[in-house]
Amino acid sequence: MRVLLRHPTLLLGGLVTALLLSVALLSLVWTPASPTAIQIAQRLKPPLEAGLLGADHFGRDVASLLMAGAWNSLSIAFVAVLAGMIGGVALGTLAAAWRGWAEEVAMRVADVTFAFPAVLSAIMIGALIGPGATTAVIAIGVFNIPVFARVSRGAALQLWERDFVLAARAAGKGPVLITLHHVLPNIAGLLVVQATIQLALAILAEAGLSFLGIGLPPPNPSWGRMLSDAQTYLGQAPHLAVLPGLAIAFAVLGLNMLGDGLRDLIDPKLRRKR
Amino acid sequence: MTGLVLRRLAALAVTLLLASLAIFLVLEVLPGDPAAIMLGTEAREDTLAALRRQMGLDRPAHERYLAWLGGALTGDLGLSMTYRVPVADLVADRLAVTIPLALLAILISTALAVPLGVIAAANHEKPADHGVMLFSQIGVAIPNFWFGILLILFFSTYLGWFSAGGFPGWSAGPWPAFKALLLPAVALALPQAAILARVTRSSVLEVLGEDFVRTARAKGLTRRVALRRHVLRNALIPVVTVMGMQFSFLVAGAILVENVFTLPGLGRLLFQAMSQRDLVVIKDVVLLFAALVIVVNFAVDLAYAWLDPRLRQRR
Repeated sequence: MRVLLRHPTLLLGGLVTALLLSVALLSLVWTPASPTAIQIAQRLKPPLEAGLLGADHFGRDVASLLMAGAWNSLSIAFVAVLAGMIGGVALGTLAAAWRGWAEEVAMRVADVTFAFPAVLSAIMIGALIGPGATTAVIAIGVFNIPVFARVSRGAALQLWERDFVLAARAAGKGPVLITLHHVLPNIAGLLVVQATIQLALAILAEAGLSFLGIGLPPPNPSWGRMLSDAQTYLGQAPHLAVLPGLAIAFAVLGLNMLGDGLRDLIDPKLRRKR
Repeated sequence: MTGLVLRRLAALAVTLLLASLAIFLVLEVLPGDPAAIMLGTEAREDTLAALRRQMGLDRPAHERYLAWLGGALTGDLGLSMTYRVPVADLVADRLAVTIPLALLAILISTALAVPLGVIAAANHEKPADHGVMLFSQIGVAIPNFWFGILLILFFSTYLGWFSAGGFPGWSAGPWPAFKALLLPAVALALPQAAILARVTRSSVLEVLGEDFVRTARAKGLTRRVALRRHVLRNALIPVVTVMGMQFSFLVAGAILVENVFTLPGLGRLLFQAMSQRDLVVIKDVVLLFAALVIVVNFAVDLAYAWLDPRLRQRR
């Protein structure tokens, strides 16, 4: 607890993220109204006139849509970052372990994937298999590969110079075993920090994809699509354009602060600069 | 230096080749029959056959890849299925919107971020610093397409100062065109500025702690003069690098923001091509965007090595 009080960013970020996670989980068992229930009589009503946060152009309850949207957004972001992390860390740590041409190839692959922001790959994949969670997860996941590859390679290269790795090599352990037993446990903290920040970026990317209609198809609630629907009713129902954006910003802000806080905790040297 | 340039050029060529190969594999080999995807399940067999012939799908994949690459290098990008015009002409029209938009966004974000970052660093741990850091945290968290919608809500719906979107074309004169690009550029610039302000701040702080700055101050230079003469030049090197790394976010942002403001740019063309499953246009425009990101990163890499002599020795 004292640790948390000394790191207000960590505390605040942790609280916001915990709140977001609880709302997302709660939406699985309870929402104020069904997020898909259409009530034309409530159409475009402002907050407090229909439910806590008003109703959308189909008369659906905005609070419930936001809650269910939180789950959809978080789960897609989580799976995508996890997939990108597994791919990227494998690439990065093995590049550090083998060096030579294997490293060159791995880093070239990372360079290439870096040239494909999530929206770009999502448009390619979307044209082939249509919109959906799979399209979003692949597109966001691919863009995470180079990030984790670079971070884990850099950290692993430093570890390979350390005495305990030399000792393990002298004892006859191969590069793969050393990576599994000595490198991965030592870069795990760094990876958690990076994953938290990538999760924030993934939520932004998911919102962008569903804004373009490449994410989860309707009637699954999603923050991005709520915003694209809201553009038609800007004059009549501005709350529809404001609330989902606030939800996205809140989620991203929380995760970013959590990531920054965790980084400070792990590496106090970086604190002054940030 | 020459050796470094040559090595980087070789890496650039390999990266570009791999990127084009990835696009080709995803869009032409993976789906089996691209013509069937483009025309949908209800297409007649003779229309399918005609499209296959037009796209050259009867030839083996490696021949098609080489032909596409050769075409891309000579500016012949094939024929769009939906627009029935050469893709090169489509792209040229759309670039006249996207390039000014991106440049304007870079200009706005730099003009905003560099002074903010320097102010924050010069007032380290004081209210101005905390204010800039707060701006940065919030700016990074706001999706640019949402910020675009908020700008429309405020400046067009309430104040009526700007139109809610669209583009009059450069033929309508530079002012109306500039006015149509201003709000989208601001929307695109905000997250960039937030990140750049943070990088500028930490970079200036780092240089402020260097020995040569202490010497300059010991010589009797005021903090302000030392900052201007010695710190800024050195501190801006990492800022330029991060700007280059942010370029892929700028590309992604342009696709989104052009759709918010219905600007007829490259991003909107790509989005419409996806809706129409026009794989020819998608293939070419994705290649263009990816190549742009790769080349910009290469240029920044090189500029970095040129500016910082210590890096010329290393790999």
